[in-house]
Amino acid sequence: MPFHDIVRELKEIRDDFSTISFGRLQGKRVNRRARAHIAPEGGSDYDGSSCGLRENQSNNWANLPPELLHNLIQRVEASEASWPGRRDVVACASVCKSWREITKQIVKTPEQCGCLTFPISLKQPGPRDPPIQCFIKRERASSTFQLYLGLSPALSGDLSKLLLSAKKIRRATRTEFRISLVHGDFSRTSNTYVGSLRSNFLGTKFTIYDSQPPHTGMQHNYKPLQQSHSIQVSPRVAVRKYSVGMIAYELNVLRTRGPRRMRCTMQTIPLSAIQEGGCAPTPEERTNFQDQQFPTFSNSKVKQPLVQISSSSLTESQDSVKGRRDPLILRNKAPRWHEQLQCWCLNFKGRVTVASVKNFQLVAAVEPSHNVPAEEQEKVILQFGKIGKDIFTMDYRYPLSAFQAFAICLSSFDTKPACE
Amino acid sequence: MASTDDKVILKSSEGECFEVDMAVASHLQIVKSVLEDCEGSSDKVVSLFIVEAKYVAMIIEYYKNYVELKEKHEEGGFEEKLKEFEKQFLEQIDKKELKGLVMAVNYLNAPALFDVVCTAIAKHIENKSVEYVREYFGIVNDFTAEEEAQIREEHRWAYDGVNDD
Repeated sequence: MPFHDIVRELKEIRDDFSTISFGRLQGKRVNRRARAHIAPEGGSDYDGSSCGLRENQSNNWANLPPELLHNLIQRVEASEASWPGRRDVVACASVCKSWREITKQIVKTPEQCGCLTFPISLKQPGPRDPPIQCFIKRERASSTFQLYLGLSPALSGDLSKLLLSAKKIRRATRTEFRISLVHGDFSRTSNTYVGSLRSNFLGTKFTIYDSQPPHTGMQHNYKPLQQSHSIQVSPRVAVRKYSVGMIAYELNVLRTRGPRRMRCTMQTIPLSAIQEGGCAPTPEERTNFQDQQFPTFSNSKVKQPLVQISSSSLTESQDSVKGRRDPLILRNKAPRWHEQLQCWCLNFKGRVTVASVKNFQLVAAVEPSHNVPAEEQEKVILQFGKIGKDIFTMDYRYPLSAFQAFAICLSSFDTKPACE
Repeated sequence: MASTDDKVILKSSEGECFEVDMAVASHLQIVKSVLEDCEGSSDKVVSLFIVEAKYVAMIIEYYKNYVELKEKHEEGGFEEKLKEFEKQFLEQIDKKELKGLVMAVNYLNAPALFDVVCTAIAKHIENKSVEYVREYFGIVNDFTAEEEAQIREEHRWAYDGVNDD
């Protein structure tokens, strides 16, 4: 009898074993298939082209040689430098895999060409010069803010392009701005959600959260996340929150009159970005991070790492490599007191026309030891100001992205009785 | 006029022969290099194995005019006249032929005509919906569901806030 028991137990163990190994194997196979799925693409296209002329009598252009397709899309891209024509380039990238791949190769980052093309360009650093000119429309009734590409509603009219939209949500202890790619969809689980801005209780400090993990290159301590990702099987949508910047408004304890003073710590942009020959991290794909795990363009919204990066781990990493990897800090350009007008003045170069406590210009806060060229120190990286009732302009440049610039400007819309 | 030495015979995939002036044929880089390779030989026949006769005829027509216009308007005005001709030239070509032509021109390496044809095709893409482009080019949507979702989101953003009328 006991022998019989032992045999049965052994049998059970063996069954367990086989199911486990089978499960693993299956998983692997699925993964491998997924990998193979996208690999042989350009090649097959090309092979088809050589016989295309002789045999292909049908209306099938699918087997154009890649270099020919490249040439065609390049022409479309070159002829559509501004919105709304620019959407043709987005359309080219939506046709099929080979078109998408070629279009992505052709389209340059805003830093390189000064153009915004795909939603990802909102998270890429802006051009070094001239800045990208945008405006923000405030809708008081719905507490929403819309960022448009264009000089102003009057000058750009229908040619202005909605870049980002934000909704202000008041909570008992803080204010939150949710930022989305489109107007009217501010759900954190939506595909169009790009990040948020949160205040502390007093409204003096704000944190910018990106829905996407920061681009590799600055913080290597993000690597472990990839491992956690591969284990994660839960289909539940996790909240995506990666702290990328902090905005601190200086408390005005003495209640003296004067403009607000702010300080923005951009955790994901190293100070070296504005040093000579430096570059700012540039994410390439909105789902770049997932692509490394899953070769198919898996949608970031479906599979998300459950692990979050706390801001403390960030600061730790920065401490450990201090000096080389200091984050970029932005501060107000000090306004000067105009005796005749009896007010504080800044030169906004005609882009701001209405005096407001919200108006500001940000420059890099650097020390002589940082070795930043003088002209770079003078450059206004972000400028924001009022031009009419509920209309504001926002001009941003390298190394900030449209998303970061918008978040910084939004912080200005939260009333801050303690700072004025 | 030109002696027979200045002529070259281009043979299409069907075996049809076209006698053209050297001045015209030299615009086709592939023909030029073939002739250079067998310099001295009396055989002036170049086989364009994969190009159909109708495309050979089109290409010859274009370059004949190109050469003529260039001679006629040496002092200036060539560009405008060529543009005019190109417009007429493209009007005769239907969508199916345009594809065959671009492939042929690409193969023969004829830069000027290649530029014209590619610009014409790019015009067909501009201001068109993705569905139209797919239909026009006969391309099958091969995205996975996940890619599709990402593309929809990009598309939604690109077309959001833009008035269609």
